[in-house]
Amino acid sequence: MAENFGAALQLVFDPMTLLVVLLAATFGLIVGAVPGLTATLGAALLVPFAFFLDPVPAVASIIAMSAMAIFAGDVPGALLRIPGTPSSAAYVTDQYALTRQGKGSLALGVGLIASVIGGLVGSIVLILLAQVLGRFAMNFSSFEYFWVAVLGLTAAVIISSGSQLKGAIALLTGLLVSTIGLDPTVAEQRFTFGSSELMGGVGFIPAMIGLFGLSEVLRNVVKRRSQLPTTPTIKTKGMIRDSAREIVKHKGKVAQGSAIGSAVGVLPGAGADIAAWISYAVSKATSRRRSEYGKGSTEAIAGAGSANNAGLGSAYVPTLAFGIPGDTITAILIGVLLVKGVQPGPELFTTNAPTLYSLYLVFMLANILLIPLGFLLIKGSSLVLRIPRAALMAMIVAVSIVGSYAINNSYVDVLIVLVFGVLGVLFERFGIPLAPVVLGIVLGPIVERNFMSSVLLTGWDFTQFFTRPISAVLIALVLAMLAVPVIQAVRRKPAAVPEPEVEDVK
Amino acid sequence: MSAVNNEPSTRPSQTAPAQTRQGFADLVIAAIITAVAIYVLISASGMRRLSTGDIGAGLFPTVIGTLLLACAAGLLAQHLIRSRRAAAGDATSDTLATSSATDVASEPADSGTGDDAAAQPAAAEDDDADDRTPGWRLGLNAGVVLAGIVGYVLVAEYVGFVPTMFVILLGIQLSLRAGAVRSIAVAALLTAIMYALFQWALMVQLPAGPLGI
Repeated sequence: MAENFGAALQLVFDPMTLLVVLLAATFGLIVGAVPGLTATLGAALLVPFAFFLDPVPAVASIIAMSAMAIFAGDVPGALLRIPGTPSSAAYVTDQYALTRQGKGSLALGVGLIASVIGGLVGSIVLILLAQVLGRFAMNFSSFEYFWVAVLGLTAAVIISSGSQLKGAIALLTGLLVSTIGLDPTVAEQRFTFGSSELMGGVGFIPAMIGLFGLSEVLRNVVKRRSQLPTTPTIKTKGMIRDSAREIVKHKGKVAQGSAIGSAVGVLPGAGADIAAWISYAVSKATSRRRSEYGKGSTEAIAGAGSANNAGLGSAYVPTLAFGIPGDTITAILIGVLLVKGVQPGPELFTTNAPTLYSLYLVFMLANILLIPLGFLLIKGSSLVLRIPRAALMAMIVAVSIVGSYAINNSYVDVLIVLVFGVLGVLFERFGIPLAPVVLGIVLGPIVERNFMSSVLLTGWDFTQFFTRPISAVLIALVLAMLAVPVIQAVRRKPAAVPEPEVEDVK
Repeated sequence: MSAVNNEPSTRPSQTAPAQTRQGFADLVIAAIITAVAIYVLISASGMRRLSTGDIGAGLFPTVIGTLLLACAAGLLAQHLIRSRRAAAGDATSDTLATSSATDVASEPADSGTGDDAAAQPAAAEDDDADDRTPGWRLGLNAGVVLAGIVGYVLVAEYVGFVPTMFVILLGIQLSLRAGAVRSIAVAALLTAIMYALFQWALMVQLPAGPLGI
């Protein structure tokens, strides 16, 4: 272990890795702070760069970027009442109310310190739990892996906050995309339309860039200027001192939020935004000052702010232990790892232990870096929010085109960006969530490969899928996951709440 | 923003025209999915089988196609149930229809930036001018972005990366009505950064063209 840890230290504190972490962190702060740009979009835009890096800096860039973006989402929330990322939405009313009372720096400062504490707790949970579950997963065969991947697919019902039916359509679309190319059993060309460049399948990177990057541009450029926000300024004098005092005052809520965030984040498909909402609800229900919630409560910000960053770290538990994504960003990260030749899952613990330990260290590093960088962001928040729309959109288009082309020097990849960009806009227009598409693309080949190898091994004896003890547990989890929307529907029925139009993409 | 839409409590109840639009959209999705599913199922039926004669390459596409058909049927059923409920609602309550009309009338006022717009009166004049921009003009912005990407695929190999990217970025900014000088400066800077980063730092062979850039 000490040997692996030493190797990991060398990998993480390599000047190149540190530079990549710093640049990715800065990028994450900007992405999170600009309303409309999500951490998922940031991850998608980072992927083409990560492609050219070694595995550790590649993964480090995505971790550092997302940790920063989740906090930075608080900035437009506090200043404009528009959460930069969905995970900041839970307490946006409190932050904005504080800004209107002239306490914008306190709203952001409390959020910053709570995020750092939550992020560190989530990292510790990741380190402890991933190890245990990863060792357990070493006993898995293709049958168990099939069910683990199916469990990952059922996460789509949770991340589809709108109609479950449309979530299923999105998931099936992703699965269908994953079947393009040569099939894994008889090497038959499927849906390639005679294109040799599609024989290897639809590139994950251009698909992600299109789905989250280009589609955001296409949505943004058809908005009128009056639909875009304008920005007030905030003063940061005494911010750290006042914020730290508030955090000490609400230390119980920070602990509660960190615990809830870590627990919720571990569930596949839940992620940081759901963690923040649950934490906010629990915090309010257990508070003696619940009447202040929604009117500028630092207690609410401290609890939910720590929960979303805690959830971000623990969302990597199923990713590292089983190789299934905890949320959209980890789905993208799995794609990056696979492109870099690293198989996520229990193999990481034996064959790539230094990479695994490096990942842990990067989590810690990113959360510690959040203090100075987050403070700088708060100071310069007004400037970041004033980046001209035209320049920002041009930049995303440039990265989308060059990033997708650079992977294989292929114009087909650029066209894939275009197709998925349009698909992303149409899906959003019709209320179909995007996140399950990613799950489908990532998990489709895993489901198919493990299913086919299992049935070939047993001569199509399906009973093997249901009679193994671990499979039974996994099947129970799948059924429990599928029951969630049914229970939600039954509980919502009297209120007749209409379905949301758009999915939550982190 | 997606995040704002996550909060059910802040969402207004759907009006009758909104429900009609939603219903029509669901029918369109169901039709598209059905067409895709039929194509997938037909293609899958012709895919190679395993040496044992069992279904091989076509298995997963068949499962996906079948489930897509089921989803289309589900959407259709949902639409029919909603239509029946709406019809029943119309027959029993005239007052509901009146309130829906009021909701629709108030929609544009609610869909702006709310407090932010009120807090920034200085921006109001610019916004008024921009609000008069016709819908087709906004659609043109998206058209310029898409045309830029198609243009890159078609001409970058012959013209070269730098001139192609510069023109695309300039076009996007001008279509968004950014100032000409700033647009040229930003397009030149972004093109230079992309070229330096990918061609020199990451050693990617970008399209060279006659000028070699």
